[in-house]
Amino acid sequence: MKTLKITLATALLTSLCFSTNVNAQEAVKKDPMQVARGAKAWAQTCNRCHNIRAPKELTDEEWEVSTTHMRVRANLPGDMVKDIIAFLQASNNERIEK
Amino acid sequence: MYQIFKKRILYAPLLTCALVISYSQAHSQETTIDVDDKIDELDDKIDELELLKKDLIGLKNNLEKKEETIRDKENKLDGEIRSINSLRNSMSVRESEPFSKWHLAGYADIGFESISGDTNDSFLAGKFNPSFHFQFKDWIMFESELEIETSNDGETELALEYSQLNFLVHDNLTIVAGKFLSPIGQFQERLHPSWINRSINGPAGFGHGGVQPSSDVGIMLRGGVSTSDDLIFTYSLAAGNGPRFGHDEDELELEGFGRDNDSNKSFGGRIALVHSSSLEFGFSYLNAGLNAEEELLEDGDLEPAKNADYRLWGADLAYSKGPWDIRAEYLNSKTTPTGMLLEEEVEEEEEEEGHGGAEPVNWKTWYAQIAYRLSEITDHPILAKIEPVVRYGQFRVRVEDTLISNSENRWNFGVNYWAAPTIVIKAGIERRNYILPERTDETRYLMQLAYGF
Repeated sequence: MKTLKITLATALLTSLCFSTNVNAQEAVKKDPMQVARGAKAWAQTCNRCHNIRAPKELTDEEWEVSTTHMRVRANLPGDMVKDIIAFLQASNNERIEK
Repeated sequence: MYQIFKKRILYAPLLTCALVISYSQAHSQETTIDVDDKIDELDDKIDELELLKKDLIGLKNNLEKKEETIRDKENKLDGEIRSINSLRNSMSVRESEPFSKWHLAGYADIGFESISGDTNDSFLAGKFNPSFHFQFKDWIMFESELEIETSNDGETELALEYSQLNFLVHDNLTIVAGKFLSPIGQFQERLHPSWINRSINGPAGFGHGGVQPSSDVGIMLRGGVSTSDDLIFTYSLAAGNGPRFGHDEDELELEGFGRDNDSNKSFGGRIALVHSSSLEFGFSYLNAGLNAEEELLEDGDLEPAKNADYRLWGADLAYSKGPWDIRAEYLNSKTTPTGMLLEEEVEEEEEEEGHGGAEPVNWKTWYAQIAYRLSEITDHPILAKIEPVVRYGQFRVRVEDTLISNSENRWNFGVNYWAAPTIVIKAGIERRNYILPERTDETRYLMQLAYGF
């Protein structure tokens, strides 16, 4: 019985992880306002503890990891963090295009 | 007369016809001349058009040749673009979507300290705190921070600040397991790095021998939920091995222990509301059991067994918007000995051997800090980067209602210069007024350069 509970709990956790991942990818495609929301959240949230860091300070990949760290440390909602990542990466890409 | 009139009538039409015919002949001759001219003109135009046509055909042929050349070049370029795109796609897939990603962060600082009285002035090696973040997709993150510093006698000290696995279960839930920074209050978990802290050091009661737990080993559920467009509810609920008794009666060991000495877990955490106006209010609570077995000390004395309940609660407030950074925090903890029989035994031990077991101890601390960046009132390239800061705090420790010597009031005045958003030079004066007269007050002159990366 205990093994069954552990298995069910593991399956639930895994399915939640997968669903979150898929939802994130779909959201980027479907939501053109994500970058605008991310810019607002970036401006409001980061300076709750420290100075705002410019998008060009890190690469796209580093921002993804760094903001996930901040999601945990500052208890930021996951959807807000995805918006912030979208904004930071879009800002970095604008810089490259120039 | 009639005959004459008749003849005239008969001849009139004939004359008219003759006149008409002669006129028409004359007119037709003129028309023929005009048409010939027109025909000549048209012939000339046709010749011109023929020439133009020939020119246009030549031009067309040239354009067709050029178009063909361009098409060939376009085809070549298309081929090259396709091959470059193919290469770029393969590279970008490798670069942007690897399963595992990582980031090295952290901070370092150096400083100088001059303390009134007999203490020597010192350059401070400060700390080097590298922080490693490894992430697998958006499911799991492992993060760890080391603290490397030089001790007063020149030894290099290495400590593990935290080492935790974060399971990103849901947008609103992360499960943390391992050694984590204490979620109690706001200073220890979020503000203590020197490039974030507006003051040069921690407030009174937030270091060794203070109120604030530094870390714990266990499991934690945490996350944030947007309750409306303007409000976020955050929570951090943890269970861990908990604190232990310290060597001195007024001290607890509040660092995370790798093993639990009494199977009695600590439970607590922090809940907070964050408003979009940048106002945050948090409440913290921690409950643990403290148990230590009887122990033979190095000097041959016997340390009696100690048992106590440990409870901590606290509240914190923050407002950080634009040039303002305002924070206040209050923490109150106490140990209450458990087991009347044990207490009696402890008292007997104290009477017989001069040292005892658990005693009721109460720690209280609070601070308020205001920092203001001048960038709001000046565009001057240097002045705009200056940030005055002032902090006041109190720390009280009572053992059985008796105040002990490290109780103090502390003032900090400082000026920060932000060379970059993560690089700050701080200069400050700290005044420590100890409550008990046997301890001399101190004035400290401090400087620090901190870099967050």
